[in-house]
Amino acid sequence: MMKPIRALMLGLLLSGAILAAPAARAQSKILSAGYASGIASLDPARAGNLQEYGYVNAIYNSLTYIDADLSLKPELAVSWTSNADVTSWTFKLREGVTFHDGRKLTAEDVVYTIKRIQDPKTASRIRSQLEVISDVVAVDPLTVRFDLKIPYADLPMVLGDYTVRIIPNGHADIAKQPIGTGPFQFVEFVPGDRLVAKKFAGYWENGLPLAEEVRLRHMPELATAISALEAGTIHLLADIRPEAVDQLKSSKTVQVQSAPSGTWFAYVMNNSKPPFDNPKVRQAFAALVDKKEVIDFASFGTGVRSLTTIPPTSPYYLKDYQEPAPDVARAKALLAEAGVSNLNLKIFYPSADTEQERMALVLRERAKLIGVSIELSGVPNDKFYADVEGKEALATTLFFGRPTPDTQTYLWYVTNGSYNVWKYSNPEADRILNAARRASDEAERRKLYQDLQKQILADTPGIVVYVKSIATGVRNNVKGFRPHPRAWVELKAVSLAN
Amino acid sequence: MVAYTIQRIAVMCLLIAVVSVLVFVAIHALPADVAILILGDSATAEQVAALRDKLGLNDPLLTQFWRWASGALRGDFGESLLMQRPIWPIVSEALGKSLILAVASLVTVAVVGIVLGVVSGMLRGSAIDKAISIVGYLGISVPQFFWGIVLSLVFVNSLGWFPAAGGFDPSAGVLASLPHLVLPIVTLTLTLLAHVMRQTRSSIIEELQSNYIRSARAKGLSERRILFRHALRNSLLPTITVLAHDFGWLLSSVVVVETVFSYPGIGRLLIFGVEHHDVPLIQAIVVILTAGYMLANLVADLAYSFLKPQIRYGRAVA
Repeated sequence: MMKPIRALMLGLLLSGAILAAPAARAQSKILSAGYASGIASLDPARAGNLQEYGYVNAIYNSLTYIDADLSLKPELAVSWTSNADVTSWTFKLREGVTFHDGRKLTAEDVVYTIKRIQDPKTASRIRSQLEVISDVVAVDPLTVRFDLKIPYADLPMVLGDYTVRIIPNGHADIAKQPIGTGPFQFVEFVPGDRLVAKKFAGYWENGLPLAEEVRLRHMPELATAISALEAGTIHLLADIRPEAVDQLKSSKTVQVQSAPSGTWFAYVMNNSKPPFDNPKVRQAFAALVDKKEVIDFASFGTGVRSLTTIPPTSPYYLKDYQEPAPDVARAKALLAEAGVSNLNLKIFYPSADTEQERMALVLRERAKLIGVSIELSGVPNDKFYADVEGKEALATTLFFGRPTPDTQTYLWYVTNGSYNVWKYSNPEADRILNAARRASDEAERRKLYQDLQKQILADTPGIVVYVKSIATGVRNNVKGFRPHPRAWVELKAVSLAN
Repeated sequence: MVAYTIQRIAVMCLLIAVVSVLVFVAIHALPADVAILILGDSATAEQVAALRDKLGLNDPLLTQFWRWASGALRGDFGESLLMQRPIWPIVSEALGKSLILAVASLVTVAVVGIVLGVVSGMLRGSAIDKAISIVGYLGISVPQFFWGIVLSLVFVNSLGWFPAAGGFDPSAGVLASLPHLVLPIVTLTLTLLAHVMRQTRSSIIEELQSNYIRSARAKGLSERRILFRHALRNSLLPTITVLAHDFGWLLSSVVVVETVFSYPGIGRLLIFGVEHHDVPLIQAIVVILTAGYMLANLVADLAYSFLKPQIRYGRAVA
C-alpha cells in the first residue's frame, strides 16, 4: 500500500517542479506589452501599425530620435549640419555602434537603408516622405550626406520617424532575419501571438535597456487584453480604445496614461463634386458641425479638437485662433445662399472602424437640423482606399500623425498631392506650402504655417475635427514609461519595480 | 479494405484540387487588393502599381494559380505577401496549436458527451435526464463567443483561476500550458455537447430495447455487462458519425474561440489572411483544413468498420 502513495508523492513533487520551473526565471525583468494590432511583416520599412512600431523601436535605431516633447535628439547620428541654402545635409555618425550580429555601423548601412526605402518594390509606407532626397552618399565611414531636390529644413526630423530604422548594408532578408542596432535583439516571432526580444549586451547607450527581455503580445480582443493587464500577464496595454478607458479608471492595479497624438479624424468633402464644389455648402457644413459633440460621441470624449492636419501638439499649431461656435441658423442660411435644397447624401467610412462609423452617425443626425438627409455607407478598408477616398462626395477619414509640419500638410493640401483626398486646389495654398518647406528661417516658417492654417480654415476643404489621444494602460509597478505623441511604446528605459 | 482506403485518398486529392481552384477564383472575384492593404494610408496609385508588379499580381490568373499549385505540389507553399516569410513553417506551427485545442476538445466532448448520453439514456425520464438535456441545449443554442467571454469574465477576471489570453508557450512546460487551454476547451465542448449527448442517448435507448439485449437479460447477464459488452458498442456507431462531423465543425469554430482567447492558432491566421487578402496564405490554410476535414471523415469510416465487423468496405456483406 505504501508504494502507490510514494509514487503519487513523487509525481506531485515532480509536477510542482515542472510548474515552478518557468516561474523561477527572473520574472521581474521580463516586460510584456499588449497590442490590439498585430505585426504583419518584420521589415521595418513596412511598419504601419502600433505593434510594428513597438517592434522597430525595440530592435532598431534611426539617425535621430523624436523625444516625447517632440524635440529632436541625436541617436545613431551625433550631429548634423546643412549647407547655406538647405539643399544638402551632412550627418556625423556615432562611433562604436554595433549591430546585433557584431558588425560595426558605417555610413554604407545608412545609404543602403535609405535607398531601399526609396525603392517602390520595398513598398515602404514612408517612401513619399523621403522623396525630397535626390541622393544619399557615404562620404566616409562615419559621415553621410543627403542631397535634396529642394531646400528642406525638416530632413533631420523626417529621418527620426518610425520606419527610417537603419538596417545592415545588403541585408535584404530583413523580414526573415531582423538585425538592428537597437536595445533589444530579436529572439522569436510567432505570427498572431508574440514577438520576443532580449537585452542586447552591446547596446551603445550605457545602462540601457533596463529589462532583460521584452514580449510584444498580440491581443485583438479587448476584454481579454484588459483581463490580461489587470491580472499582470501584460504590464502595458497600448492604445486602449476610448470605450475601455473608463473601465480602467476604477482599477487599483492599473492606471491609464494618455497623450494627444498627431493622428487626425476628419470629414472629407470632395471639392470637385457637387454639392461640395460650392464653397458655401462646405462652409455650411463647417458651421453645422459641433466638434465637441463629435468628440464626445465618436471618441468617448478622449479626442482633442483640432483645426487642420497640423495637430495641437505641434509648435506651429494656430493656438490663438478663436473657432466660431456651431451655428445651425448660419448653416441653413449658407445653404440657401448656395441655392441648394433637399440634399440627399451618402457618407462613406471604412466599415471596420467603429470610431469613424460613429463620426458618420453624428453627422447624419446633425444634418437633419438643416434639412439634409445623409445615408451611412460602410465599405471594407481596401475598397475604401481604392474607390472612395478622393472619389466620392462625402466621407470620413483618418490619417496617422506625421513628424513635421511639411510632412503633415504638403501632400494633403497641395494641388494634386498624393493624399489630397478633398481634391483641394488653391494656388495661394500651393505657394505657401512650397515656400514653407524651403524656408530655413524659423520665424519665417512659423508665419507661413500660420498663414496656411488660416487659408485652409477660410477655404474649408474638409473639416478636421479632432486628434486621437493615445491611451496606454500601465500597471502600477511599471517605472519609467512615458506616453509619446508619436504613439509608440518606448521600452528601453522601462522597468518593473517589485 | 486497403483498396477502399486508397480509393478514398485518391478522391480526397481530387477534391482538394477542386477546392483550391474554387477558393482561388472566389478570392480573385472579390474587389480587394492586397497591395493597397500593405501600403495602407500611404497608398498612392504609383506605389500600388509597383507593388502589384513585384508580387506578380498583374499576371494572368491562370499563371498565378499555376505558380502557386506547382509550388504546393512540391510542398512549397510560397511566401506570405504580408509577412514576407515562408508560409509552411507559420501554418504548421499554428495548425499544431489548433490541433491541440481541437483534439483535446473532441476527446472531452466524446468522453463527457457519451457518459452523459448513456446516463440520461439509462435514467430516461428522470430529473437527471432533464437536467442534462437543459445543459446541452443551453450550450448549443448560445453562440461560442458569448460563452467564451462569459467564462473569461467569471473565471479570469472575477475568480482569477485561469490566466488571461494567449500566452500559450509550449516551451514553458506542459503543466504550465494547461491552464491556458482549459477555458477554450470548455467553450468548444459546451457548444458540441448536445449533439453527442442526444445521439448517444437515443442510440442507447434504442439498443436497450432491441431483441438481442432482451435475450441477454433473459440469459441472466448483469445490466453492467449488457451495457458495456453489448449495447454500448453498437450504440456508438451513430455517435462516431456525429463526432467525425463535429471534428470538421471544430476546425472551423476554433476561429471564434481563438479570437476571444487570443490563442495563436490556424483560425486566427486564416482571418488575418482573409482580412489582408493574402492569397497564398489563404490557399495554404484552406487546403490544409479541407484535407483535415476529409481525413477525419475517412478515419471515422474506418473506425466504424472496426467497431462493427459486419461492415467491411470493398466486399459484399455475407
